[in-house]
Order: sequence, then C-alpha cells, then structure tokens
Amino acid sequence: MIGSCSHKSPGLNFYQKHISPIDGDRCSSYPSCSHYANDAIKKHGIILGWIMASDRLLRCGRDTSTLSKKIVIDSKVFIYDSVESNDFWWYDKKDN
Amino acid sequence: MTLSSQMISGGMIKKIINMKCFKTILLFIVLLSFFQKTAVSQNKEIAINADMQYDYAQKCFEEKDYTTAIFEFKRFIHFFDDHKYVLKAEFQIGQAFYNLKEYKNAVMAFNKIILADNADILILSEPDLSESFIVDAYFMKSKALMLLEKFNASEVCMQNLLMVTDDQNVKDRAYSFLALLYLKIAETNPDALKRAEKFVEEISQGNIEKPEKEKLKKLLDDMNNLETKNPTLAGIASVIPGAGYMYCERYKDGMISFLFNTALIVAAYKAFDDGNYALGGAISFIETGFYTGNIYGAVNSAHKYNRRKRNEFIRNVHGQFHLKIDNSEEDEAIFLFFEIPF
Repeated sequence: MIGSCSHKSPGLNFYQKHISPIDGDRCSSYPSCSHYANDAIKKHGIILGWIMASDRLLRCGRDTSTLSKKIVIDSKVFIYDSVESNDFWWYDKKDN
Repeated sequence: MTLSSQMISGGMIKKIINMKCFKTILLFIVLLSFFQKTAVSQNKEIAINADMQYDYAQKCFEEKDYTTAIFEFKRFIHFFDDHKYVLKAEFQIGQAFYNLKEYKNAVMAFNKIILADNADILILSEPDLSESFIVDAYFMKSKALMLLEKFNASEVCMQNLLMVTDDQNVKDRAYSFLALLYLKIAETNPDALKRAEKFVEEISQGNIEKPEKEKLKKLLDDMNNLETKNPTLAGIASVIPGAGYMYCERYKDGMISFLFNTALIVAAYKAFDDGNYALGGAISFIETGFYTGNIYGAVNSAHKYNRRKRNEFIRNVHGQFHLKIDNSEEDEAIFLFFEIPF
C-alpha cells in the first residue's frame, strides 16, 4: 500500500482493507487514489474532498503521467500527484 | 728561596687556572656561537611572513583545495591580523565555503566582513580595495541565502547594501540581483513578478555597460505575454464534460471525462426512466461528484498549465542569465554580472 494515513473514513478503510488487496496495487500515482481521497477529505472536508477525489479518478494514469513529476518508491516509478499539487492555486492563498 | 719558589709555584698554578678558565670560556663562546648559528639558521627556515602565508592560502584556493585554503586563510588572519589583506582573506574564506556548497558557513563568513565594516574593526590601508570586498560580500551573502532558499533574508541583505551605498553602479547591480531573486520566487508565487518588474525599473537608464536592464525588461515582458489558459473559461467549458480538460490540452483526460460522465448521465436517466429511482438516485449521487470533479479538474488544469509554462520560462531565464562571480586578474576586484552562455 502506498501512502500513509492514520485516520481513514469508513468507506475508504473498507476499500483499502478488503477491495484493494484483491484488486492489486495498480494505481500509478503517489499517493494512490484512495489515499489521495482520504488526504483531500481530511484537508478540505467531505464535499471538496469528494470532488477532488473524483477529479483525481478521472485523471489517474493519463495526461498526468506525462505532465507531473515522477518519484521512485521501492524501485517503482510513480506519478507524484498530491493534494498540495491540486489545491495550490486557492489553498495556499487562503493560508497566506 | 723557599718563599720565592713557593711564589713561583703559586703563580704557575694561577696561570694554569687562568688558562683553563680561558679555554673553558673560549669553548663556551664557540659552542654558544655554534648553537646561536644553528638557532638562527633554523629560525630562518621556519620564518613565514604575511605574504608567504597569504600566497600559500591563495595557491590552495586556486588549486581548488578549498578546505586547506580555509585553514590557511584563517591562520593568516590569526597571525597577521593587522595586515591589509585580512579582509580579502575573510572574503576568500567565504568564497571557499561557497565553492564547497557550504552556504551557511559562507553566509557567516561574508557576514563577518559586512559586520566588520560596520563596526569599524578593520583598519585597512587600501580603502578602495576593502570597499570592493565589502560590496561583494553583500552580493555573495545574498546569493548564498538565495541558494538556501532564504529569500527574505537575501532581499534584506541587498536592501541593506542599497542603504549603505551611494554608488549607482553598485545600486544597479543590487537592483538586477533583486529582479532575478524575485524571478526565482515567481516560480512558486506569480505575484513576485510585479516586484521583479519594479526592481528592473529601478536600474538606471542609459548606461551602455549595463545592458541587463533591457534584457530583464524584455524577459519580463515575454513572461507577461506567455500563452496561458483562462481558468474561468476552462470551468465554463466544463459544462460539457471533458471540454475544460481539452481546453487545457489534456485530451485523454477530456475524452475519459466526457465518456464517463455521459455514461453516468445516460445511466441515471435510464434508471429514472425505468422507474428505478433508487438506482437512479445512487448513480446521480456518484455522477454529481464526477461532474463537479470534472469542472474542478478543468480549472485546476488551467492553473497547473499556467504554472508549468511560467516555471519553464523562469528556469530558462535562470539558465541564460545566471549570476557569475568573476575574479579579474587585473585589479582583483570581483564583479557580479549576467552571463549568457553559448
């Protein structure tokens, strides 16, 4: 499993515990889509988190693979696409 | 007779004693002079004057043995602390640290020069030379801070220089540096471009030897005219699922978004049409997330597109216009200038 979250929403927890092991570690991005969704919900709440997670699912493994940075984890190359890479244009400004 | 013979023998003894004393003294003198000579000759062997020490340190620096150079320059400063090259040695220590990429130590070394000047500690016989090194210490400190990504501290250092100098050339160099610093900051904060433009405007006009103003101005103009995507337009285009992604040149994402959203909308419609309201509701709920996600993603893609273009441009600028320190052999002054590599 890629990514790390200590507190997970029940739905994501169920997916990561029971579906993902059968489905396999196939997500080409880091963090994986389920971890991304969890991070987004934790950071921005359920509505925005859900919207961001949906956007991520639509983008996963396509144009992002050529446009985003790559990172190597355990000799495997992943597309780096964190929540921070997708909220920089409004969240950082709000912070400042 | 007995008395006279006794007197003779007493005189003889005295003579002998005197002779022995004389010989001993003579031997002592000879030995002393020998040891003295040895000591003097040994002293000559270990006598290192300020120039020799400085030259050796400089030689190490030129041979790129920076660690030894730092050590030897420090030795020079310790033993010849009133020498006119003390400031220069301090500067070389900073330079050596900088070349070793030990930027924190370099900052401390350059800071020593700046503070020494402020505190009037260093009394130098060549004020022009010292001034040149102090100015360059400001630039080098700012540059090291920039590389440490301490942008605020880097700017403060330049602003301090601008406050202490009346020399227009130095001011122009400082403004050029600040413009490039803000171009660097613009990689993460687009608002920094306005500050960069402001500093370019501060560079004095009409000096042929200072072409960087026009170059920087042109670059900033080019940057402002970069091809960008309008995030609002991307969002509006996303009313048709995928069109916003396509506007941002993400054709695969656009196609998937269109097919996926269309499929879900059709499925929801069919479910409602067939009277299967629970399924229709569930699909609609999921589709709402993907549809709004498609709009969010398009706006996000426009921002990412603009950031990518801007960063590519800035990286190119820093590749073409990088700050270079040049040790001129003629007057040993150090200049900071923009260089366009072949």
